Amino acid sequence: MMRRWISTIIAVLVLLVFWMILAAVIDKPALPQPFKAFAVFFRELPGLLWRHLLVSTYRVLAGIALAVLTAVPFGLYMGRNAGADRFAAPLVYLVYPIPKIVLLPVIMVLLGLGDSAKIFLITLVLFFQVLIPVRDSSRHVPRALVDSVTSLGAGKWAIYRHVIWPSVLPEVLTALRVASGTAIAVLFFAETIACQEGLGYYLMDAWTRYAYEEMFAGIIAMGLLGFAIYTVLEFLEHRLCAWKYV
Amino acid sequence: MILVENLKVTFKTPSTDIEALGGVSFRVEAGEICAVIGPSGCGKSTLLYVLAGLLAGFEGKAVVNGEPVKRGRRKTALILQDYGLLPWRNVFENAALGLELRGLPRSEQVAKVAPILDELGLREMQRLYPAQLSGGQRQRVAIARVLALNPDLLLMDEPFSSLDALTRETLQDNVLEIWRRTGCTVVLVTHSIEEATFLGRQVVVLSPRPGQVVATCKNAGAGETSWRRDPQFHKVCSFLREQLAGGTG
Repeated sequence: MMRRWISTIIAVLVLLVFWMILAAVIDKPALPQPFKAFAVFFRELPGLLWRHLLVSTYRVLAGIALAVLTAVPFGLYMGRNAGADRFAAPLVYLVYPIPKIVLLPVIMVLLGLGDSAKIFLITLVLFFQVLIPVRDSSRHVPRALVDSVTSLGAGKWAIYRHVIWPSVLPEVLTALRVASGTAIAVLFFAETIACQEGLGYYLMDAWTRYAYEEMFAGIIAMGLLGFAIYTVLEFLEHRLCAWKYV
Repeated sequence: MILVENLKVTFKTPSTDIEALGGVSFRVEAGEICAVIGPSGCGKSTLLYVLAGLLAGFEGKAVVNGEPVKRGRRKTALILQDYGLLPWRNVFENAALGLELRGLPRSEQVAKVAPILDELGLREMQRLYPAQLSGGQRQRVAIARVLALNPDLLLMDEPFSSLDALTRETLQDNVLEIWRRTGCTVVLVTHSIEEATFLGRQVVVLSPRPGQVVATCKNAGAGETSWRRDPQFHKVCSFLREQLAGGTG
């Protein structure tokens, strides 16, 4: 544990040094020195920035939660029912490559300009990123494993609960870790359009005022948000999938 | 106890139909150990799946304890070569899985499983995951798991074929002990002539695919651990080897 903290700190220091050098070489207001950005970050954090960070955190977490709650059952069902999969797979692969953010105008018309439109957009993007690994991994659960647990008296639900779900869970957490970066990028985009709250708004607002140090304070907040989500997911994986780490 | 009559199983694939079992008949009395032996791909595992009630589309008759085989018969236990254990459950949780599925409270699970783990020498490994066990220990957990359910029929599909010789013999001895103590009926599928001879008080020899019964022989010496060292043991092995060779030629 200690070692991991040390390596995390070293990684952050390396990033900061790289940033300092780059800022010194470029020497333009658009890329302020990190200590200036951090000074603004800590000055702003107790007030406005904290509020924007909370709003964004809420939206990302709600989006992730909804995506998991919808994509996991769908993915499990598609993976375990060849008939359903034959019908749904072409549909999924047709919709998957469409960049969902182009649907934002439609979503805003339907759901308004509030939180629900932004959460829905994140859910929509993550849905597919969770659905496909869940479907694939649930399909590849060894048949002998299902058979042997069936022979112990497990019905259909018990098989999902005791065999399919636990074997898919690591895939879900990995997919979420990969998708958490995408979720924040999508959130940023959604928050820059017709929006008064959230890190995306904070960033764009600073940008239009040429307040680059504030802008970077927002970028730092966004980075920390991503890092926090990633850390929580990794913690969950170690907790819930302890058997993978023995 | 077990009655199989003219059992035929055909697997349909998009290109062709594969006949796995081509009319198999035999019977096993209650409380006996029957070994089914045959070349790879002769449909021995298919036969076991039918008896376990996991394979529905077959022709002919398969009766366990006077009733046609059906999915979810509670007194039938199945042990497979691999994959039997859930990797995310530790030894205790794996052994108690069947009881948990039957809705037994945790305290009763402990009361039933603990003595079985003791008997099989798994007590100290309760909290380990299958990945931390040797092949023999894993198969012992699989045995513990089905014993917890008090089965009257134990079906085993090549249970020890991935183990080294010494571990295999120890586990074969374990099976004999369990059989003697519980009096359950055992059907064991194997490709090992020695295993069939050592455990099977009745040995059914199958031909290559589609599997048919080449010979059914009584093997009264089996059932004692000393049988392995009996001069007669090797004679039975030779006899079975001839039967198997006859089946291929």
